[in-house]
Amino acid sequence: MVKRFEYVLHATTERHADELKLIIWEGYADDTYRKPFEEANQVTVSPTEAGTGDEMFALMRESDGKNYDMVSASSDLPRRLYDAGLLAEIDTTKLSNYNKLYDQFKTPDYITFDDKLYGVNCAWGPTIVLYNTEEITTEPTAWNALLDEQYTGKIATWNYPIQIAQYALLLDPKPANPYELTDEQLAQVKDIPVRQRPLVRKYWDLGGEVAELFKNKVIVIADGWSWITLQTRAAKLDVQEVVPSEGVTGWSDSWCISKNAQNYDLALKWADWMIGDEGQIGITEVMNYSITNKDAAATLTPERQQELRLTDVEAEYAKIHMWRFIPAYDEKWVPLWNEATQG
Amino acid sequence: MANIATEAGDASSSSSGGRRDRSALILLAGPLGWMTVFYLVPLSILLVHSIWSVEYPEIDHTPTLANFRTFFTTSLYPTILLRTVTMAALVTAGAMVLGYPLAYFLAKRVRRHRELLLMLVVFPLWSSYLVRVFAWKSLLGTSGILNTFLVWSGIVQEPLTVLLYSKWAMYITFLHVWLPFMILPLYTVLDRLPGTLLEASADLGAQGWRTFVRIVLPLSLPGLLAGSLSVFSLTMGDYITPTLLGGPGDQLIGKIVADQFGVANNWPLGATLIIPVLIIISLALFVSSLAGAMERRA
Repeated sequence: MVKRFEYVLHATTERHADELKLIIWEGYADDTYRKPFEEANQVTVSPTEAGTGDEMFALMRESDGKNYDMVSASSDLPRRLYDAGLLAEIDTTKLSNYNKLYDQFKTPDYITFDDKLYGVNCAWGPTIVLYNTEEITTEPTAWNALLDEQYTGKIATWNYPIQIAQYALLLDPKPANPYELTDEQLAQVKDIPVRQRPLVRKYWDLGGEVAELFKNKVIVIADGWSWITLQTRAAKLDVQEVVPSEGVTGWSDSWCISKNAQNYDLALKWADWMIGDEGQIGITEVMNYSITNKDAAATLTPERQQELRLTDVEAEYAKIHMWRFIPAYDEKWVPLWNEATQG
Repeated sequence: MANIATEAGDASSSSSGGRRDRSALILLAGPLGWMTVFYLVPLSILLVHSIWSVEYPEIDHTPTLANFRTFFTTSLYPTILLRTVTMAALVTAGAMVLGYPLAYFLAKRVRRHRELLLMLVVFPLWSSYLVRVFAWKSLLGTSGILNTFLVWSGIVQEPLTVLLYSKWAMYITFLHVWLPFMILPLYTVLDRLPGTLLEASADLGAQGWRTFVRIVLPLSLPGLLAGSLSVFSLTMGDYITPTLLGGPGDQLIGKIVADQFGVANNWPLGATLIIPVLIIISLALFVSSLAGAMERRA
């Protein structure tokens, strides 16, 4: 009787060896690359979408990394996960596509700690401003457009404290590193979202919301990333995206594996798949992101390479102030953002 | 003979009284034990976090009052707390105004189909709370039913944007989802109110309003307070509705607390923020019990 009960308990709590649980940015588990992987490996991929890197961190911490195998961490996140002891080292010998990566994505500093690799870099891109071309006829070119009074009540902006860095690029003089801000600079930056708040209709949490807001004609301009542009276009709206001219922040996503993952080998296979040709081309089609696999990039047409910033990866990448780990993030950035947007 | 009988009667009643007390205690032990283990203990563990602090990335267990200092010195938290209390009070007032007539009507005026109408009041509770909130989101949007009607009928020229992502949207939604919690206790109490009292009052010459103020209202106070307490505390703690339907600057304390335990990774501060909420609700409970919410009225 007891044995039966134990068996039932065990069966309900144990995760099957054929399930891969991911924490992802929306779009990273699209059927285009998920289904072939599931079929080839006879497994199920169960994604959990998160709206911000903070959410991803919270999800990993809560369960001590046991509930998830992998997380698609942007460049600000892996260090926090590493410090919390939640990451497993990547065994690159098991990655068949690893050598096809551009050199700069093999062991970048945001996923390399103590000379060991803790992530597999698969995509990158800038923060963009997107707008409805039917409502806005003169093309906005700068982040300032989100602070323009003529769009009062029709602006949506991301509710994520790391955006402070993007706002910091509006400061005069512009900080060399928008992630290293002095207290004085932080106080100055705070004014910008405070000024913006009366103009904002909604602070959005999940990328999918933005497409909804555009579709219901609630907003005409927002910030986001390329996946959101494609989603909004899929909702039959004519939106255009623009990289802010003042300078732009961005993100570089890596697949990190949880130290307490149930399926380390399967996780490596997924990472390998996503940096492989099919996965990478899939990413360009589903999300319009820049990719990290040299060979896959070479298969694209020159126009497409131009669009995706792959003609000169090093130069294009260097233009973007990639999100990075900020030691004072919880202590200074989060309260500042909350005060500016909620107080 | 009669003496012996009464003596015997007394003896047996006192011993059975003792047995009743003991059985009462034994019966209570279960629920009390449950409450202690699954409510009081976790709550205490939670509250003790307020004297700790966060030393990235772990929690530092040396006692400190820093969080309380942060609460009082950062304008954000008292502002949001005030915003939350105001919203909760307004929603409670609105629920009273809307719920009382309905409960009175159901209890005193409806003879046939009373159970059916009662069920209709409870019916929304059968659907998920989230579904109802999303329903309001689509109802109140610029292309939603309400705005479409307003524009079509000519009442307004352009769709009203203030209906969504605003305090109004939150207020309407809160009222709608919490109204059954106000109606039901009120109905229960009003139902038990003897109709003969009202007739007697009328016979003695009291007009409808006087009867209401002098007789119905005081006797229905326990129900009114119980309903108000429910609506008030439900609104105090809510964070889904402000997140989905509120605009910038409309967030309530619930979300801030939830953020501390989630994305902001600052459990000590989150625990500290809970304390004012607990105090406010305890005060409300105390005032209500003074006014008789806890008593059983015949």
